[in-house]
Amino acid sequence: MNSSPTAPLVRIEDVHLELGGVKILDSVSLEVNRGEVVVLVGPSGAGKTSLLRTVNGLNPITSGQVHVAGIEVQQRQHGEVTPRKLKGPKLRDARKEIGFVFQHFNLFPHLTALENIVHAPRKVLGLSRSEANERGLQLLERVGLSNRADTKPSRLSGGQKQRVAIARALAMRPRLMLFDEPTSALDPEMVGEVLDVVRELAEDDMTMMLVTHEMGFAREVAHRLVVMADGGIVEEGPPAEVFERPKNERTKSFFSRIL
Amino acid sequence: MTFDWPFFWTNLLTPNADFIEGLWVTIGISVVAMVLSLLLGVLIALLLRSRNIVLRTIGNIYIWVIRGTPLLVQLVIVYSGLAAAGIYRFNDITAGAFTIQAVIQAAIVTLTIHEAAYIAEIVRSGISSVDTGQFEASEVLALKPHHTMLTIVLPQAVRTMIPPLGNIFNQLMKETSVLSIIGVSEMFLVAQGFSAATFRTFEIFLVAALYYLVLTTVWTLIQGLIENRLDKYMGIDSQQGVLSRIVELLVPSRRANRPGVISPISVNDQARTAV
Repeated sequence: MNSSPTAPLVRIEDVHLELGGVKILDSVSLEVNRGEVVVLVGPSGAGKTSLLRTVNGLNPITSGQVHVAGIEVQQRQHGEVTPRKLKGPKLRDARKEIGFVFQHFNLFPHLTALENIVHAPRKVLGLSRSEANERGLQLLERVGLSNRADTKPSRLSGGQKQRVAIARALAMRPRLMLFDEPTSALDPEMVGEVLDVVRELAEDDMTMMLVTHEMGFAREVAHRLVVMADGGIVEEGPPAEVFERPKNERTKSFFSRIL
Repeated sequence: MTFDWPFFWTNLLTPNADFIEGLWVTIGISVVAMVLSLLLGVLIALLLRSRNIVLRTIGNIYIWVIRGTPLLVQLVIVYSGLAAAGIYRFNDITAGAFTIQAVIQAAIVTLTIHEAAYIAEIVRSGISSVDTGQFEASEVLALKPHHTMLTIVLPQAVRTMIPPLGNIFNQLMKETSVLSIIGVSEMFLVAQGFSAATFRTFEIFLVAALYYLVLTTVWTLIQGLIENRLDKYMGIDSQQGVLSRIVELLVPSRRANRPGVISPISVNDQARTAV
């Protein structure tokens, strides 16, 4: 595998995903370049979240291949048996390069905000307590939560939880960040504070794939907008172009319903 | 009816040395067997969760057999049966001034095997009570499976496991009376000997019953305390009753009274963000 600086960071090739005989993803190919922000939009059930989850191996694919930073996340031939769950050191190596932010945060409730952030750097990267804490406190400051270091998640608001979750993902110093509807579980007044953090990341040239229903934000932050429907990519391009002159019928009907 | 009140009070309030020793044997065996059966129980729970069907089957057969046979029968098999068949004979172990009697070893081994079967089921359901998002979050952070289990899943599972585990320990303390059958001089056997010597059966067993009651009551309070602490650890408001709150007041947590430990948030701020 080629992992030179000019090669795409993410390579998704001819990915099929079936669950219980139902086609979730149908021959999806997508490349994401370094520093690029790709936003996935489309009606629910289109396969956006499923596609995002194949990129870090949370969803084992039926066939196709996924590479991130030159590391094979998963690869399967047609007809090969799909495991229920992926595992192994190579997958873990790939995952060290990939930050993932969940819709429902999934913070560790028994750990404080800071402990949530430093847990993996200490256990996985082997950082010392002081190194990890230094990194963790910097990240908390970056997401505007320096004064919440010793707070348990149950005492944080939704927006604060998601910001801690982003800091937790960043603490591994990933080369790619995946966001799965990071604001969908939030009260409206908290959406902004989370999007601000994502925007800053984009400005820092972080490579990102983002699933969202925030169309205004998608238009603002995306380098490339990818529209999905029925398990496939129906249209992609610069957001201004796709929003103003959608070519595909399904893109048009999707926009007409939400815009 | 004749009830020897002076005899009853004397033995209740100033029990003789044998009785006290029996009490300590009961407590000692209970605690050691509980700790060991927790370890074995977690191990069997992990077998039950294994993706390897052979390991899973071993775990299931263990639970099926051990839960399906009486403790008393298991005890006699382990202590007398194994010896009679020439497979294994328990012998006193002496380390310095300290001797562990053969019967006590057999008692601890049997109780551990017995309770582990029940504990395995509790641990398994405790683990499956943890949200799948926690497993996924650990996975995407590249944590190894044992780190996920030990540092993320089990600490959360413990909170749901404590009430049923508390029941097990409560039962275990009372079940030690069965050990009298192989001659472990725990509280029940001592009471029995005392009763045979004095014919004050009613009085002496009432005393024994009250001592068991004290043991289980103390444990109930300790359990409430553990639950309170775990609720705090998990950052949730405690749902404990009045009794354990009183205990909590008597046994203040280390952090509560230390100023300056709490993060610098104003009270207002905390109230605003509390869920």
